[in-house]
Amino acid sequence: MWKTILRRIIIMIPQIIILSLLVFILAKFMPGDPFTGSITPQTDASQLHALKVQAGLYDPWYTQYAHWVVNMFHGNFGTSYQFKESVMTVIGGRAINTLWLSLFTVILTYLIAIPLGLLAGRYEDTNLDRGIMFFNYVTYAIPLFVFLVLGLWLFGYVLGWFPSGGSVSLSASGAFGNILSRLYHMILPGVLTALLSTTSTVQYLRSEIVDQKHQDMVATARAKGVPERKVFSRHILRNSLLPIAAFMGYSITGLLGGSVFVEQIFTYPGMGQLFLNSISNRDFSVITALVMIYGILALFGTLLSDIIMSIVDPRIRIK
Amino acid sequence: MSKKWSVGAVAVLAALTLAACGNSKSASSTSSSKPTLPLTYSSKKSAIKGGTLKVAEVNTAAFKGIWDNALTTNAEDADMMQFGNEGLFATDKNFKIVKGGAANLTLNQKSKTATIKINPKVKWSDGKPLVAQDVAYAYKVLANKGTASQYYTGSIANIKGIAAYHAGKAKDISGVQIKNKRTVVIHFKVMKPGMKTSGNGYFWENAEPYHYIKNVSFKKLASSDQIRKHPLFYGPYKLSKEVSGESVKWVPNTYYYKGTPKLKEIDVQVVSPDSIAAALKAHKYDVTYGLGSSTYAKVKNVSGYTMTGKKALAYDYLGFNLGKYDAKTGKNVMNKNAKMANPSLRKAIAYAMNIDAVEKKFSYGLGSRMTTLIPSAFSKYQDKSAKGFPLNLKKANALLNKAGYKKGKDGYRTDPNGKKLTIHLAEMQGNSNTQAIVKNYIQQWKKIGLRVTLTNGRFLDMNNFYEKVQANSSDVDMFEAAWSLSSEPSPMDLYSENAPFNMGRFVSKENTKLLNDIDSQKAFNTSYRVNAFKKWQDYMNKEAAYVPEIEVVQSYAVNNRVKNWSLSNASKDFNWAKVQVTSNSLSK
Repeated sequence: MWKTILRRIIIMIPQIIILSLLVFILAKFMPGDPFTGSITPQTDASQLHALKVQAGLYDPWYTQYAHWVVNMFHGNFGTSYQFKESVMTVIGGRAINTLWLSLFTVILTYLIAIPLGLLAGRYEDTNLDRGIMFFNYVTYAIPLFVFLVLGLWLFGYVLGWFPSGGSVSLSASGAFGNILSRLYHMILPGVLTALLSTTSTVQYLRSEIVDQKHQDMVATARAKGVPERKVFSRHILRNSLLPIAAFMGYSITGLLGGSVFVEQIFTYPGMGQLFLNSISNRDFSVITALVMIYGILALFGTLLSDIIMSIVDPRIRIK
Repeated sequence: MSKKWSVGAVAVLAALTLAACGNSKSASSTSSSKPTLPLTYSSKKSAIKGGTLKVAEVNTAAFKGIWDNALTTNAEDADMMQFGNEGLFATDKNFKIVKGGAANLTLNQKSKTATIKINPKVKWSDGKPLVAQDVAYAYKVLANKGTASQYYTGSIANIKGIAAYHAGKAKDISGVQIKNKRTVVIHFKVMKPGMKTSGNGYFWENAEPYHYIKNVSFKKLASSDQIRKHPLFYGPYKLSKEVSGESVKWVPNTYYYKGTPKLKEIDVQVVSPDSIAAALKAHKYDVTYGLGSSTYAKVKNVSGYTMTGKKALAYDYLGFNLGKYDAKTGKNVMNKNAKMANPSLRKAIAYAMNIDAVEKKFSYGLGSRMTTLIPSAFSKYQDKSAKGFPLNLKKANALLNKAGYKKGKDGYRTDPNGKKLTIHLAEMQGNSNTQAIVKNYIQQWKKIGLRVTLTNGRFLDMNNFYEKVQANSSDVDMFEAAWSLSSEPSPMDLYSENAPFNMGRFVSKENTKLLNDIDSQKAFNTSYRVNAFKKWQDYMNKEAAYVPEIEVVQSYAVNNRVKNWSLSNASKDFNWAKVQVTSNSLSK
């Protein structure tokens, strides 16, 4: 297997090169530049021109590309035009915020979704199953931003149980106080998002279990007199987890994606908001760095999913 | 409060500042029944000692945290640092520089100098006094290529020797002379009447803590800890804690020269426009910055708050594509054969617009039709007798008939040569109101027989819009855009022959003459300048070079426990040190 993983990683190199070319050229195709948004009547057009020359924006694209790639190998993604800081510093600050929140949300999602899916599948067609399915339809139907605004209004403002925005309180002090404050700030956005992200997991798990229940090998196990509990945990559950495992890799690498809705409504500065604002402000260095990071993460996500699959199902061997 | 530069950039139709250009604060649409929001608020109850003021910065974009006037270019940072960031000079309500600030300014027309005398009581938040070196060093920060500051402009290059320093040919700026420990003399090539007003751009109105940042290279200054993490201010409060992109805590600067500030703490938090109404209903904040007009409608009656407001230094306008900018000569060139070159056509378009009705419907009483290209925030210079272009379809039709735009069988007019006339209107993306408003105008123009279609058939992204408009693309005949202004009203940078931002490229000998008159030596006499302004406004309306559309009142919610709050332009009367609260919890 290690050989296969190594081979997959080597194949990624040309993929990443093509990705970087596409990202860079497409970014340059966008109309406007990082300075368009900061024009005021007092701005001097000739000074703007000089600044653009200084920033190398008028160089031919291959010169800019070469420059960018060489710097990237030195771990330097350039300087953000809007933040006037190194891109890694800007992204780093946001990535930590997003990672915390996403991790919290993903764990919560699985904690809610897996038991629900298991129960619904095991007690198929009972009232419990119908209740869970109803919950599923409701969460599937509600748009995320409506749910978030509603939740924020109810729990943040009317009841006042949770902070209404931000990632950490201004008055938090000390390492421990900071962590507690961060956790406290994550509860509301995390729980709300997790509730709405359970749908597919519950649904997949339920239908897989229903499927497996009628397999011959389950009937055989039952006929041999294997206790129902064991039939369920040994024969049904493991097979049913396959589709979920298939998504696991993406979930892990997707932790850095961030959600524009959550970040906007809870004024939680994360990767999603950064990406959106960078695009509208034409902050090329941040855009290209982010897309590269996302692209590489997606490639590793696929690999990771394959590896997880092979662990869960020994019949699958990645080649 | 801070108004030394034109924050904001280009907003359009005011309402649209959503995510696309988070840096403009003139957001709001607009009406003819102007509400008279008070400029100040002060609770009648007696103040408590200390207390925490909670400020909401309503925005979709996180602030950047570049705590330096010469380096930051976004409105969020300016809002977030106003509690410590005080300009050098005090102003009156007309933005005129007066005595009584951190420094006093004396202009000398004969010797072509400005003398800046620092008040000896002024100290940085680390206790070190503000000295001449600090004022002088700010010019180096601004002009050195290493900092890549956008505030190095043609206006500032009017200082002797600064261009040589900018080009790296001189070690010092010869025109910025340190006379003694607390006096700096600036030498200009030409004196301009605008120099009497704050926000003029001919000299810099801030200082840099030389003793603190002298060892940081210009290139690294913007990302240095001295600017980002532990900045120094000589204003009433100093920065004590920052949570990147979301909140900032300010505590009193005990060295403040006008007396120790009254509050114990000021907490500023970025709040999403989606949730600010709920936040105010839950009484979470004392003061809001950047409240849009649609939010204003939702919160104006919330108990415990008083709405205050002031006229924004910003406006929306309709421009016509009349020529090109020649980058080689640095001049606008008007094309006499351009589709929109006929003033009668432009006037007819203006008279067909039902701006008053639109404002009544969409602005919640905050906006109003502009009558000239000078917003009424410049009450002294705006021509109050001007009527602008009130809705008059009869007049519009008559103008077109007279100019030879004949109506065809399909109800649309042809150009005077009998050819089909289609006018392409470039529009920037906005909110749902923007779409309705633009559709309405297109219908209005149809009423007078003009076929107007959107450039590209849709609303354009901000960057795309400005790229097309600035290049005078042939698929743009007219465009709706907006300006945020600095507090010096000279229209030179926006409408002159040499102004790249005169994006319609309107040029005429008369215009050049009138504009030059506004900035002439004679105009040092204020009444002469007021008169010159009036003549220029009349001329621009006569030519309908641009159609002035809308100006707005920017609203601010203030909780009733706040004392001594003011939006006045007169910084001589207000500073954050005076603000107090009357109880520990917000008024409900």
